[in-house]
Amino acid sequence: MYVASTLLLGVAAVNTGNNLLFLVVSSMLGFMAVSGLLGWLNIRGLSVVVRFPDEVYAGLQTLVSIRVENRKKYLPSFLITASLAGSPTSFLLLDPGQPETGSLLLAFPARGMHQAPLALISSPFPVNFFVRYIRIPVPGSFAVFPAPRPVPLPAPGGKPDAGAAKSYPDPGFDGELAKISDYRGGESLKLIHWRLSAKHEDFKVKHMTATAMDPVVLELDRIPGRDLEERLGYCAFLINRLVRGGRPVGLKLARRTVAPAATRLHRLKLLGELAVYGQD
Amino acid sequence: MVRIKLILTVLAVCVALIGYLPLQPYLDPFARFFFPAALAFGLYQQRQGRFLPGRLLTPLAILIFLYFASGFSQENMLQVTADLLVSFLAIRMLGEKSGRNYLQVFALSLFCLAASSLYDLSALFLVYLVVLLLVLAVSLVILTFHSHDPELALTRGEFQKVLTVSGLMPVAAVPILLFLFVLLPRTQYPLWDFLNHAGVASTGFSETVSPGGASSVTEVKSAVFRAICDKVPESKLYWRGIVLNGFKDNAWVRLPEPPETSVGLGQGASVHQEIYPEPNRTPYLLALNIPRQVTGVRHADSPDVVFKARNPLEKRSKYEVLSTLSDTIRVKGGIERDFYLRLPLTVSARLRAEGRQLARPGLSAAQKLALLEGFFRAQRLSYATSGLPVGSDPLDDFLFGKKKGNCEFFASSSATLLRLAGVPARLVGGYRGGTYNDLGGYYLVTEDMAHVWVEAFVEGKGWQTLDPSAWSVGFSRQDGVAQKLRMYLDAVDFYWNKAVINYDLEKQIALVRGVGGKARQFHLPAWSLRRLMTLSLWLLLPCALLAVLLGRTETREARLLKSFLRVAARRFPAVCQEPCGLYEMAERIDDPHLQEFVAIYGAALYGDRRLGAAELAKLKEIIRILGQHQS
Repeated sequence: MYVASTLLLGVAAVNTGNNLLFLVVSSMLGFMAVSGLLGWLNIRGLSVVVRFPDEVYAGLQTLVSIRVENRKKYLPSFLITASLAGSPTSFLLLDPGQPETGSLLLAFPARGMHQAPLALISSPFPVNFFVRYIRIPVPGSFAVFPAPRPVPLPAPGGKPDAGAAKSYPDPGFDGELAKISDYRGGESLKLIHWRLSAKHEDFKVKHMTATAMDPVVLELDRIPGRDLEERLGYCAFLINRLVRGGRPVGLKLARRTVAPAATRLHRLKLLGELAVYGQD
Repeated sequence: MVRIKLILTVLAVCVALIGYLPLQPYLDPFARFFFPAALAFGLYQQRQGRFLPGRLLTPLAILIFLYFASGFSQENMLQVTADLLVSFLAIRMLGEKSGRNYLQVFALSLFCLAASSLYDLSALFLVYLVVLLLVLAVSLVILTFHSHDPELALTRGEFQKVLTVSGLMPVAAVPILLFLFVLLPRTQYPLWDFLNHAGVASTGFSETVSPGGASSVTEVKSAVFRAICDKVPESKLYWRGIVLNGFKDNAWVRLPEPPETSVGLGQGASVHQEIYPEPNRTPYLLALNIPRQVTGVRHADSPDVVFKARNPLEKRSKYEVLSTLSDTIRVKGGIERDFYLRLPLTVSARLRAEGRQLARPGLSAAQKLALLEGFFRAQRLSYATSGLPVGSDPLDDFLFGKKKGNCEFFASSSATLLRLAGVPARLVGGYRGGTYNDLGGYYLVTEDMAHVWVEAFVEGKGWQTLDPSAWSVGFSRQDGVAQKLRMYLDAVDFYWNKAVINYDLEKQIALVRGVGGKARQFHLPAWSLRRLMTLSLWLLLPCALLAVLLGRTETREARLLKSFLRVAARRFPAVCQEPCGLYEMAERIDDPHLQEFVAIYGAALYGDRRLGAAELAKLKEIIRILGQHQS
């Protein structure tokens, strides 16, 4: 409409030779030029940093935080929309030197190491005649793990079942209190429940559960599944479930083996191995 | 919090008003009153949160269109367009407004303002345009926020930032505006000529003089032309336009002039004038009496020193004239006396008798002129613009009855008396006087200064100028404070016309070429050098200010480091003499404050991040402590 109005008044100005109409047309053209320049400046001087969570699984939506900073000296940026892989988040006003953080839901279809996607910065500011775009590279890379596929867990005894059997924790020294019984001799003195023993004639002993469980090494090639991706999915599920259950898990791949451990970092390391497996 | 919706409503009302107001005096009464009513009703609806539905507004728009279109003709095309624009704007203000509707309001308002320029070319247009641009820029930006989220609310701080940036847009557009205004192509002649007629004003300058037509003359103070020239004596301020040499019944008219050869003008100073006439329909070129040469407009001149443009000056234009302030036009080989002795259809007996008195044999033309002046003065005629003689013989009534009249009576009666006395005479129509504008260095001549005087032929001398009105009682002009104020306002109007309305690219190019030619022969005179140096000094001041401002563009970290190094150099001059890095300096100087500064600053510097507010405050504190220790 603006362009059509300018053209119409331009024709009227030329036809009538009226300098006041020329003044109106000049001002409209001047305003159009300045608004274009301001729109161009509005999306310039922005930097984008994206923080991916530690665990990103293929095909699953993940909440990603995006931080946009206006690095211009004086000019604020208005109505900025930052999009990553087609998912947008908006910022009403970005003051110079004051970064703002937004979040967006992203899903990556395939596992593997991914470069952070280009951020698409767009804004209709200052006048909503057209939307300006700019693509900004986002530094960093991240691993997308195989999507976990649920699989029935083997019972503690090692006999696979449907997962319905109750598991009994092994006795130990540093776990939770399992039961209290009479002292039979041979038990460690530090297990004697002194306060309770004082109330009874016999010594009472605490039976604790063991915190450590038997380590397990998952052998990818021996995990059932129709293809590699399905096996990787089962494997990822097992790693998560077992390590979260406190069991040390190791991984045996075609060319290398990772020793068992039960920490979170170790779990991420194993998932990372699965993410890039077969992509070297 | 500031609600975007509310702001946009207020801005839309402002924009619509700026579109309506300049056009308001020229509108049809319906459009004139429909707009404020619609605006008020629209605001009431906004308050109630209910709006007239589109199914009512669309038929209303069609009805109004048909109403105005029914009276459409080629002559009133502009009027109908203006009425329709304002009516549509009013209808738009009645309904609920989406983003698109707001844009329609803005566009219609702009068209209304543009249409007003076809009615009125005054400098007030610039005021409306500037305000409209400013409000429109803010409105369009706010509309963008509205499109993002209509229910959006901004904090006061955010709103101020939006307002500042959007308000700066039209300011930044001004240089481009000026550049484009100069460069946009113009056509030599308007393609749609009808649109321009509305701006043409009649000057009151008449090609016939027929005293007695009306009992009073309205004094209109609108400008006729402006002439840039040096100040000339008040008694010489006669602006010559037309010569009326014959009669049509009793009215003085211009008949085809008999062949005669004017060979020159009498003694007098030469005055160069640059004349800016207001658009009018007469082709006669006005200039100080007596014009010698006219340039800048296509024209034809005649032996009775009348310059006539080939086309009426309906567009704003300018021309240049060289005049000699003389009261004589010399003629070679005599004149056709019979032609200049013809009389009107009716001449009263008293007038004829007086003519016979003057026509006594043995009197020279000069003596007859003196006798005529004596007769007029003896009659004690007074100059007036109301209560003028009317009837079948107004000249007789003027001289012997009412004894008052305007210049037409004085000139007509004296010229008739001269002809009766056997002295060839003619009337000269033009303007008398002018208000000199010291600000602009020009004379402003208004319609109320229209004047008629007489030229009488004296053998051996030529055509002599005489102004019988000057023989009246109390023929003078007075100045006052209001007059001065009027001069200031007129100066604005004059420069507006000169710079904007009269602007023509071809003339500008010619001017640049002329300047280019002169520049090649340019020699700098001594006074110019002095002026140049003064100008340079004045220019240096803002440049220095700019340099200081630009100097402050370094980061706050860099500024902090500078002041730290300065303090450190003062406190530890021996160590800081040779150049070294920050960490090296910290190793060399065993000072906990200095080391703390380096640790905090270095962590930020090498961590590639900016200093936080707390770190900044701490570092400033350290610099302060280091500075104190030194003293």
